[in-house]
Amino acid sequence: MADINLLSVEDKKYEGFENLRKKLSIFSVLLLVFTAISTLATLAYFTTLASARSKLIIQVEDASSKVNSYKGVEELAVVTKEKATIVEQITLQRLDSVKFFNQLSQIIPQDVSFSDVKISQGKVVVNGRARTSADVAGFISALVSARGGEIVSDVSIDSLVSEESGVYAFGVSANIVKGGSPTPL
Amino acid sequence: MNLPTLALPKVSEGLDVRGLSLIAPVGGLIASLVIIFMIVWPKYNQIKELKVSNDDLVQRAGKLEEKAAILTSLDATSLEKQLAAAEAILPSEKDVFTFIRQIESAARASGVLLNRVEAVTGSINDSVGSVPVAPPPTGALDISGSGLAGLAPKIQARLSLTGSYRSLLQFLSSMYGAARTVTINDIAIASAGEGQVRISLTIDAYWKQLPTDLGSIEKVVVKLTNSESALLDSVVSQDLTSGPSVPEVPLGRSDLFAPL
Repeated sequence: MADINLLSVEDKKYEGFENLRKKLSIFSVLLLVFTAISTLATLAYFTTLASARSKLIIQVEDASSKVNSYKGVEELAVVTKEKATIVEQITLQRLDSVKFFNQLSQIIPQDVSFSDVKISQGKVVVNGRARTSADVAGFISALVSARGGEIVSDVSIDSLVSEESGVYAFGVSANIVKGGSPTPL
Repeated sequence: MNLPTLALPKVSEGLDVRGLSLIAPVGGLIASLVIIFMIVWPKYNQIKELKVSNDDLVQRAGKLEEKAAILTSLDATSLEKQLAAAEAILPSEKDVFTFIRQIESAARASGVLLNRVEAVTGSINDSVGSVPVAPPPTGALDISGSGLAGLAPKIQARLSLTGSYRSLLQFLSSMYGAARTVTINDIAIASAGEGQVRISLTIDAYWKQLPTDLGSIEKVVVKLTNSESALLDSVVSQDLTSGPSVPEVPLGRSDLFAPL
């Protein structure tokens, strides 16, 4: 037998309204609970952070006063470090001319003599005389060799003139290469 | 029978009464939204700011504690010795005459003849040595000191010397070996016959004013590296901290123009 709906239209409307009201009430309660929990959690977290901040401020103040009590030591350390760093850089970058001449004297042939040497702006210019052309060749070979390459690069012969006596006058220029450790104090 | 003709409300107007029953849930929703937007949201923003601020404070506290630990570990007596050594290798003032004395002493000790000394110190109040330096050629070693110009101001002396080649090397070694940091540039050596050479060169001596400000309290104190400590210790061990001194001279002269 088919169901007979005995509810009136008014009752149906009322029932729909009641459903809506119930849903709204539940949602409202849930939202209120959520709001209450999130408010409490937020406030609690805020309080924790504020408390941590207070502790951190005290920690910073304590550390600051401790650092300030070592002001004299800090001045000594800062000045010493600054000066030592600068000097070390200068010492590492400067040309050790003694070492340069010592290395140069070890590689040149015995029958080569310098009349003048100029070192300026990272370049060396040498004018000299050699007993024979072989000595000049030996000198140039020495400069471009591995040992010569430790002190000079880009070697070029600027002049080479033979005299009546058979002695050769030459002019050689090269760039200076920084090599080895500088002369210690 | 006369009955009043008053119109009675219909039962269907009970809907208005039912509308009143929505006040509670709607009021709850509104209250929730008010709390969220008036309390939770502003507090959330404050929390974000507080977290950033706390992170910054943690970093500051860490840096300061680290710095305090470093400072505590330093020995003031040892530092004073190292500072004296640092002052000897890089004085806080130009010390022009001490520098000239150093050159004279090196020349005397090595046996070279000091023909001429020309000091280029710049203005007495000039904090930076005003020595123009041309840039080195590309690819060449910068031995002119121009690359060092930014590190520290310098005073410069141009020298003319005569002596043997060995004396020259000894003179150069003495200048490098002295406490004060120097660079030797523009070296010109020419043979003068009889085993003698004529030399002209430029010596740059560096100096650095003491800092007037230590900077921020959080600035980290960097300890000396091993090589820096070794450098200073070598100065201390060789007793080079005192350096050459300018001697006292007798005072008083009746004729200002009498020949020397």
